[in-house]
Parts: sequence; C-alpha cells; structure tokens
Amino acid sequence: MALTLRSVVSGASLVAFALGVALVWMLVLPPAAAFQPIEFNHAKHLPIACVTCHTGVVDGARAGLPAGLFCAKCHATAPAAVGEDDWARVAQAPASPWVALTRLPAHVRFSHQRHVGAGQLECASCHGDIGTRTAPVPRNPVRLDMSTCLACHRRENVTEDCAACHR
Amino acid sequence: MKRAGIGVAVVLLVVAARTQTRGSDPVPLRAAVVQEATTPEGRGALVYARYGCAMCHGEDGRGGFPNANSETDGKVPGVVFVKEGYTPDELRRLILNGKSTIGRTDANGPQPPFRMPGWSGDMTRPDLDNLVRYLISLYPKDAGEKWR
Repeated sequence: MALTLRSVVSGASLVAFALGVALVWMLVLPPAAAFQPIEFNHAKHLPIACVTCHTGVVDGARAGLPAGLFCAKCHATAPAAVGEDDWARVAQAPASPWVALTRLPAHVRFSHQRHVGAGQLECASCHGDIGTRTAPVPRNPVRLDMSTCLACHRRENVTEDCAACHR
Repeated sequence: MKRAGIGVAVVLLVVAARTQTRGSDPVPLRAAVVQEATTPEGRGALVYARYGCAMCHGEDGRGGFPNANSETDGKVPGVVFVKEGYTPDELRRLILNGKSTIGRTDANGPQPPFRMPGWSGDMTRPDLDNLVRYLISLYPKDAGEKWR
C-alpha cells in the first residue's frame, strides 16, 4: 500500500488543523475544570467568615486554601455525604488537598490585600456566588482575565498602569 | 466545500464552548462598612462572628446545632452561661486548646461528628481577650431572678 503524495499532504493538513484547534482551545478557553477531592458545601459553612479558612485574603497577596487538618479541627468524623476513605485522604493530607480555581500567570502580580483589605471589595465581586454553592464548581463563576480586570479598573477609576499588575 | 463546512462547525463549537464556560464578568461589590466596635465586648462579638463560633453555638450564643450522641443532649451547648462555669483564664484555655473529644450520651454509640476547634496559633491575644469578654457579657441580666 504505497503512500501517495496527495495522502501525505492530506494527513499533514489534518494534523495541522488538529494542532490549530488545540491551540485555539488552550488559548481561548478558560483553564480545565477543577475537580475537588470531596463534595465541599460552601453554603453549609456560611456563618464562618471566608478569611477563617482562606487565610491571607484580607492581609496577604494570596488567599490560602485550608489544609485538611484545618477541616478536621471541627469535623471529628467524615461529614455527611462524604465517604470515609475520601475523608481520610482529605483530613490526613499534610498540604491543602483543594484544587485552586484560579491561576495567576507568572508575569502578573495580584494582591488580595489591595482588593479586599484596602479596596473593601466583597469576595463575591470576583468569585460570584461560590460562597452559597452546595457543591464544588468546576471553574470560578466569574471570568477573571486581563480584559475583565481592566474593565473593572476603568469603571472604578483605579490605576491602569501596566507596571501596577505586570512584572 | 466539505472541509470548509467542517472548519466552520469546529469554529462554532469552540465559540459555543467558550460562551458556556466563560462565566460572568466581575462586579465590584463593596463590603458593608462595619462600625468599628468601641468596647472589648463589641470587638469580641466581631471575633465570635469571624471565627464562625456562631456556626455551632448560634448567633445568639444559645447553641442547639445538632451533634448526635454528644453528652449535651445531642446538641452543641450554648455559651450564654459560661460565666457561671468558667473563669476567664479557663475560657481562654478552652478557646485556644479546643475540645478534641466530646463526651457521648451513649458510651457505645457513635462518636459525635463535631468537636470544639482550638485556635492556638490562629487567634491573637487581643482577639482572645475580647472574645472572652464578649462571652461573659452574654450572661442574661435577669439570670439571677430566674432562680428565685
């Protein structure tokens, strides 16, 4: 079965086309959905201030994700609807078992302290209704990228200087 | 022609997928301006809220959150009467160390699902002192009358 020039060209253009689609997918679409180790219910934890678990959100650059041991401070046993094995993996994890929904590119600086502490913004401004969700969401409910950051900065009349956010 | 059709379909698919997954745009929501508390008890109330004590002990401090098989009637106890059972130092120790084991009503029954977290290393000394002042202040003014 000899390869003809025509079939090679056709195969090559198919590969190029597939690569093109993959590139568009990676550059245009948001990051892949995040899957959490257990079905965490934010709504059930509402009386607790966000900062109690997400330390640093008011006075630091990063908002932390709690270690499993932190959850086990209150939960002596697996929470309802969470399997014992899943719970054991979370509660005994030395580091935070949670998957972050947002990703900050290496060339961008972002300070939660500036927005939440100094700017007095509610977490919902950028994280939408995540605090009232009863199950983990695959992506941050609010789209966070340069265009939405800039739109908000313009609206709020705060700096649009490149160096304010870019390294 | 057929290839062009496939190309258009793929582009439409990408656009549709992006539309479905992009989420809404940020909306700047201002945090409610909290009046700075002027008394230790007022500041303690903010600490009580911030650390989520209300989650189990109730916003009014009267407890009641279910904690199956716990020795306190299967519920998280209230904190309004702590003034009667604890000195301020005992309260500080309890808040810092927590209570890792909750007594059971039925010794052979299941472990109560919730325990009291300890805040050692997380809570500052001023926050701790203010919280203790707040908890003591919850004691009902007419509590003594009720015993007569």
